[in-house]
Amino acid sequence: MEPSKEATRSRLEQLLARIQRNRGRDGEEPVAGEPLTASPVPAVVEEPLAAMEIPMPTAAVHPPEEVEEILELADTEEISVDVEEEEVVADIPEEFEEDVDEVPVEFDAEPVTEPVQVAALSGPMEIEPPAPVEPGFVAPEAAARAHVQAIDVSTQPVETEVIPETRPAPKPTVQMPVVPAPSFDRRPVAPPIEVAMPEPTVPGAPVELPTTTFAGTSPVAGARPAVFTRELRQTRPRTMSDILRAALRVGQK
Amino acid sequence: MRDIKLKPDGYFTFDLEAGRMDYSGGGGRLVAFPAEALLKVLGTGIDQISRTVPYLLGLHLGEECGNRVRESMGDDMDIPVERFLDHLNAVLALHGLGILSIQTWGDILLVEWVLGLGKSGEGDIVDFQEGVLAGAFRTITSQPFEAASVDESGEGARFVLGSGVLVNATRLWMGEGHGLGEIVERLHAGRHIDADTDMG
Repeated sequence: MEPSKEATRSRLEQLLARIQRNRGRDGEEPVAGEPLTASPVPAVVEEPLAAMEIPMPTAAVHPPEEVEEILELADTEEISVDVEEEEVVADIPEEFEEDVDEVPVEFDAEPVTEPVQVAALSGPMEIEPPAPVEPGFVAPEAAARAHVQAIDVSTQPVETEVIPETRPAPKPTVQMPVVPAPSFDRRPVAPPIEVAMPEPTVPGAPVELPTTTFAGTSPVAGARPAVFTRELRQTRPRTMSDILRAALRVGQK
Repeated sequence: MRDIKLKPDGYFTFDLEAGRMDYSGGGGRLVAFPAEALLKVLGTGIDQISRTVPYLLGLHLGEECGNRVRESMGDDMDIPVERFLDHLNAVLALHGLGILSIQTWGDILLVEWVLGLGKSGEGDIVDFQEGVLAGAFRTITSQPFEAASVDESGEGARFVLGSGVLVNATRLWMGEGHGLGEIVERLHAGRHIDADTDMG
């Protein structure tokens, strides 16, 4: 008949207490009056504790039969002996192992449902790598970065040229030239606006058409100030091609 | 002062009887002919030769300028007017020929030319300017542009640019004493086309 667990544990604790008394307070010096014998127990115990190296005291004071009894008691599935620390450790029963895994863990952030995608970059641009994402837990800063849209610069060339803003075309109903307000942006300095007045007409003659005057912007020696008058009824800036095409087709029906 | 050395690899050849001014050599460099010297050439024996000589001289110089504009700007004319004028004025400035600005009276294209030599709008110079404008715009656009002076009273002379029919009608109406506003109205009404058809 095998001894019960409680009996085994009790017996084992008694043996360890006895060993403690024999070893003394620091485990090195034997207690006077006790028999001093050399321990024949090998340093490495064979199976099933082969993988468990049990260092023994260099000056063991307990008799060999007691050591054998300890080892026999320790050769169970549920109880192990740590001779170095002199304590009895009971294995966690299997029926409780699942309970340990199911211990609820509280997180301080909502899990991210959208996957974090980072596009491949080909240029010298350096980006901060995203924080490691653990299942069920994402730090707030990592969650914020997850919403940053990744840009594939390999297909989008980086332009450094400053593109001047396009001025909005004046409304058709406006009858006064639009004077651009002074600005400090990067657009070229707008030339002064000069309203092209119609030529004096003969009394009774039809009203002449509004004119548009264009002038270059490059500083040329001897050049007068640039003149630019926007045609009032113009809906979009006319290119040179538009003007030349119209000039060659004037009056054609 | 920097010494000016003769570089015989580039030069102009004037043929006043034929009204030609050719530019030769230069090894790719631009040899600019000073405007003051050009005016002296135009005033030399101008009474003994045809009035078309200043026009033809200007035509050749305009073609030369037009080629240089096309080299720098390309063939794409779908560009802002200011950019077109930047290229053209830069080339004209090398010859000391002042600066151009463009006006549009409806569909009519007017070019105002401030020559800056105090002789803008005078007789032979106007013929020369008409030739430069025609040569430059023909070369740049590959279209049959002609130019006619319509206003010589302001700071700069103004020229109407368009087809040969349009320019001829403009010259005719200007000679009859019609104002620029009325001429523009007639052109928009297509009366120059009707007149050309009647004459044809």
